[in-house]
Amino acid sequence: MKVLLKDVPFWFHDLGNCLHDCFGTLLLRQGFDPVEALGAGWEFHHDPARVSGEEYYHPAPRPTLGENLFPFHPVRARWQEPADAQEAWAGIRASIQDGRPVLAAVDNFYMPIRPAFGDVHAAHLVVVWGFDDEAREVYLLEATPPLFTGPLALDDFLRARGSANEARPNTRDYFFAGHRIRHRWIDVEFTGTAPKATAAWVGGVVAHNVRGWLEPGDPRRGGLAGLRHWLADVAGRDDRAGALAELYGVGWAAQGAAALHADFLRVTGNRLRCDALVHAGRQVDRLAHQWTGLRIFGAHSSTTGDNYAAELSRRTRLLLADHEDVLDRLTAAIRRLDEPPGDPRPLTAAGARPLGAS
Amino acid sequence: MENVIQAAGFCAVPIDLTAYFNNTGATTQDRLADGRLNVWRNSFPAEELPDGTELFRRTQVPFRFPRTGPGRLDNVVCAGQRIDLPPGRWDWIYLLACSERRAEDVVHLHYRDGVADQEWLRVSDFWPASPPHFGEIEAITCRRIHFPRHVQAGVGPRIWQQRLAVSRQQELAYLRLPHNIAIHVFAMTLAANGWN
Repeated sequence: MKVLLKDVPFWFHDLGNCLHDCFGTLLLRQGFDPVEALGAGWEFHHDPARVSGEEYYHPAPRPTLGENLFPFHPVRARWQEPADAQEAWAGIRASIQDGRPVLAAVDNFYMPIRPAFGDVHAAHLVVVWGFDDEAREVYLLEATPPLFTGPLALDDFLRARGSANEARPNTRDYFFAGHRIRHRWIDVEFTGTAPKATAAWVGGVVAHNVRGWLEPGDPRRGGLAGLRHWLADVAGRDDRAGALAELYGVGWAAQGAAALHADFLRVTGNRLRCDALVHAGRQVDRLAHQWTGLRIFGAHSSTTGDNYAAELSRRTRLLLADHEDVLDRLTAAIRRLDEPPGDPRPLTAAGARPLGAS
Repeated sequence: MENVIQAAGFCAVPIDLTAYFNNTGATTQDRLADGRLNVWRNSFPAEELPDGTELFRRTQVPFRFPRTGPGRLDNVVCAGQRIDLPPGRWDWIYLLACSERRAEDVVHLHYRDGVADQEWLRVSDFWPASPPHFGEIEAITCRRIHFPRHVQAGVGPRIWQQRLAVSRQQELAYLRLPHNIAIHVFAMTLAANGWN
């Protein structure tokens, strides 16, 4: 059997990671605006027990990936944890036969289409959009340069999917090796149409986000308090190299979320002719750029041993202070919108709001 | 009355940054592992960069692009360096720069009278497919990138032409770069538009 899905476009965000890029492709294909869908939700959550050294790490305050990435859009997405390669491939094939591309975890060391091929181990995510049983090929899309869309030998793909992603000194990525790939993949389903970004909807989204930052369910893990707590932990942990590497990886998820939310505020603010929202978006963009400093100082410290503790401390203070400023700006911006904030959460199939998603 | 007035008088002075170079951003194929453009030790292919013995122009602004090659330092990683400037009243400070992830940070402009102003230095990512987020001009585009152990085709890193505004109409003395190791500066040129 050969199944090739149509209309699988590239999408890339310079501060996003492979998780964002892969979902961007699926969103575009479904007629959703990736910036609106990926950038609407903006929050912080950190559970030390669930951090993983993988480029596609995403913090998880809610049960499923879809609920975490798309709190305001009708997108279901769940990590699949198959027992073995056979079960994984069967699941991927079934999804594609159903017309739904999937996202699959791979180790770039075994991916001939990646610069890391045969060089370094690194966990990564690609879009799978077809297969050819007779040719023993799988069809992939890779949005991180070098761009690729087309067939790959199934045996290479399966090796990359089953890799131990070893963290040996000379063949490891600094940050994304050491976690087995385990044939994991993400099952994605669109359950409705994209919400219209009216003033009420945007206001509701922003108000929801601000509440999450200021009144998190668990202040040690979420919101501004959780961010402050985690950054203090990174600064004070005995495992210096590990903490700094975590700053790079966890910081990537936070940076991507901030950058996408900045884009969301700019686009919707301009569309709604609300300069206050555009200005707040610019400040969120600055937060995203502050993450560059933190992540890059952390990365170089963790790999070279250079001591940038004082600089990291200064940048942490600035980042937290600027977050407070941004939340004030967003609160003020909501009042400038033409309509009062509405409930932005997507409706279920039965027309009700989902329980426990606030 | 004329609505558009054109005047000559553009003046540009390329600055020699050689004494400030502290990083190797370009390598030759026999010295791939020397690159330090990012934490993964990528680098620009030296043979695809401008000839460092001549002035480089992507627009009207001339730059003194660094000489690259084995064993050479060729760019300034921003670490709070003081860059002394020739006396004069300038309108813009043009830069050839790139960033390990896009970044913005504060440069201090110091004037002859002792006043120091903060201006934002904004530089986009060198990695291909990244847009000029801050409205820069794509000054240099390579066709491939160097990894420590191989040459990668299809990944073309870039160097951006960016600029800083000199808002005070007074003599500038020096500038102090931010302490932000993500940002790499390859060349700098002072420009005056002739209105002084």
